[in-house]
Amino acid sequence: MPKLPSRAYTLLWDAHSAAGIVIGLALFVLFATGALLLFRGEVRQWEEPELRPTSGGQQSLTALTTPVLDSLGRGDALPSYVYATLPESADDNLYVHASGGTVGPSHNTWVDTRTGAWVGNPNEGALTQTLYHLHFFFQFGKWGLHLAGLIGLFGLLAVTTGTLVHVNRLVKDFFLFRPTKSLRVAWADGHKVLGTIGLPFQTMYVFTGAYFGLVGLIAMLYAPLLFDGNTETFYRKAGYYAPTVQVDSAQAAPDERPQLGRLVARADQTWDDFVPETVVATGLGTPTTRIEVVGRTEGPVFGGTGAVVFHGQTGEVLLQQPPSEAGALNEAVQSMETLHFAAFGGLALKILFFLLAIASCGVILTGNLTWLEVRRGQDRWINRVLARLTAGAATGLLLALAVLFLADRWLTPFVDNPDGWTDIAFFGAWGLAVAYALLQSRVARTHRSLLGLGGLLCLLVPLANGVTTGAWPWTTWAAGQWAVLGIDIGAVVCGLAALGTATCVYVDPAPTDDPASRSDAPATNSVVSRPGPVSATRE
Amino acid sequence: MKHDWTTVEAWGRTSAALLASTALSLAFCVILVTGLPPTRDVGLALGVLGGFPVWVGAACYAVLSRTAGRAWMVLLSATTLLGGWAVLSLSFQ
Repeated sequence: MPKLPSRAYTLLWDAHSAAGIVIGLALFVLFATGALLLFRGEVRQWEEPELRPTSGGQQSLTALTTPVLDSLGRGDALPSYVYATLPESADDNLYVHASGGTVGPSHNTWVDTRTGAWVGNPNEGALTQTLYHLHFFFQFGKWGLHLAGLIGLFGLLAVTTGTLVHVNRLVKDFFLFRPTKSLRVAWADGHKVLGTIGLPFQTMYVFTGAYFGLVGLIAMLYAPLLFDGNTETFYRKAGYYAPTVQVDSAQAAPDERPQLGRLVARADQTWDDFVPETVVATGLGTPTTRIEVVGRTEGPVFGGTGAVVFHGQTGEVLLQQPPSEAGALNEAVQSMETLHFAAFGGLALKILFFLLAIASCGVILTGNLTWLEVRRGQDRWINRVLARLTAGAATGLLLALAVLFLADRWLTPFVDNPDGWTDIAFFGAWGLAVAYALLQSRVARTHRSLLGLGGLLCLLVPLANGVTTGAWPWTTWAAGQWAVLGIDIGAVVCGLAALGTATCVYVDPAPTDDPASRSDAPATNSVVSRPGPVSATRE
Repeated sequence: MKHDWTTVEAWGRTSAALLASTALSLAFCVILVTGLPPTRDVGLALGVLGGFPVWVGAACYAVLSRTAGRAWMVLLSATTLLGGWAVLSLSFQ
């Protein structure tokens, strides 16, 4: 590989450091929540006992949606707009989003495909929803989403500059990990090894994440140029919905319900290997009801969506657009969707992506710690704040996540609005962790305390699940509720790993991170393994 | 920091990397659907996929350029060129 000129090397190095430090902790939150959200269907089943799989066959789409729409419409009128994501298997849940009519602005529900039991979440709260919204900072609304996109974009800059800096020794660095050398070397080696392993993964995620965060702004750019200011057309071109088609008023009685199950079955038969994924119904309860069934070809990862559009009242096919004729934008965007949401490769790929996401969190943390270790001798408040903030925000997130899971189980029987309280518990615990870290001068001790407490709380998660819902691990094993069992086992593994790491963190009893209060002795107040015969050596 | 940054250089390069690169990537996205031969659908796809690498590339250029002023001048010139081309294309459509 060609070697960069010295000036280019130093400038790119600084750009990499600056970008990494500015966005590091936010990107850490995006990767950590993203790792958990790879299993959001499983987490939702853990969270909602009504959605846990039982024996029996899958009910038809019409049978599943009718009670939901009746209830949401409160018997007066159907919601005017319904968006449903079809379950991939009988163990999966049907997602129904409804708005308009008597429903109000919007309502999200998840339906058990075997029993027809359903749960609805408000816009805020609920474990899965809290994690999902945190993944793109939707607690701040659409600007939070755009902020997440910008962080993805800066992540792309950090990945690019980091790769350029290391490109001539990628292979060498990959095999170079020296934990027994100085802390700076150990963190830097870890940063480079984990970064090299996860490079394609991180590049794909920051790229697609930037797109999903900024797509609203991208659509706003193109809408006035190409679509007469209508951003909805952009999303139709991108394959999220079927193309626009004229729907004539039907003679049938307007209160006649569209048979969603039959329409999806007809769409399924339209092309070989066509798999319907979403159903969009607009104008329900009117003579111009339109039902779009959007799906893709089974098998290939890359490709666009196709659609069949029905007249909701007459069942007439109004439009067919096969996936093979999807436009370039449709193919590009839908391929990014498939990659970002890991909608291919099954459970094995999700586990691999989970591990790579955790490794990416490691890349970010080791990057921050390398930066701090290099500047250990400098008496700068910004470095002290960054060190403490890294401990509070990153290590404290584990504690807050454990509190979120526990609050979801233990608050439910005692409060009227558990969803709101789980939010308060999660952000409250996280805020306390950050406040504790900012006030604590021994950063290593902060890491150890938060890891220890977070690990202990993680171990309580299966206990809370068993006590409150009766779903003890042996019960879920016998019932074949693998999602619930998997979350419980994951919590235990996570707890043990955190406790194990906490026992490895060495806290020097004397110095703090404040150089003014330190002796002249070399500082050892950072996250470090217990010193062995060699590891006490420092630069 | 490895490089010896002056205050002016740091602000100049950073602002060029953030603002001028954004302007260039937007102009790139626009020109693809207004002034180039590929169909609009292909132009849209190339814009969506290519806009981010162009932004990152322009930001890297801003960091690596000889001076901050030169970075601003080159990126804004390229933006003006592409923007003007797009305006002309739209005017003669």
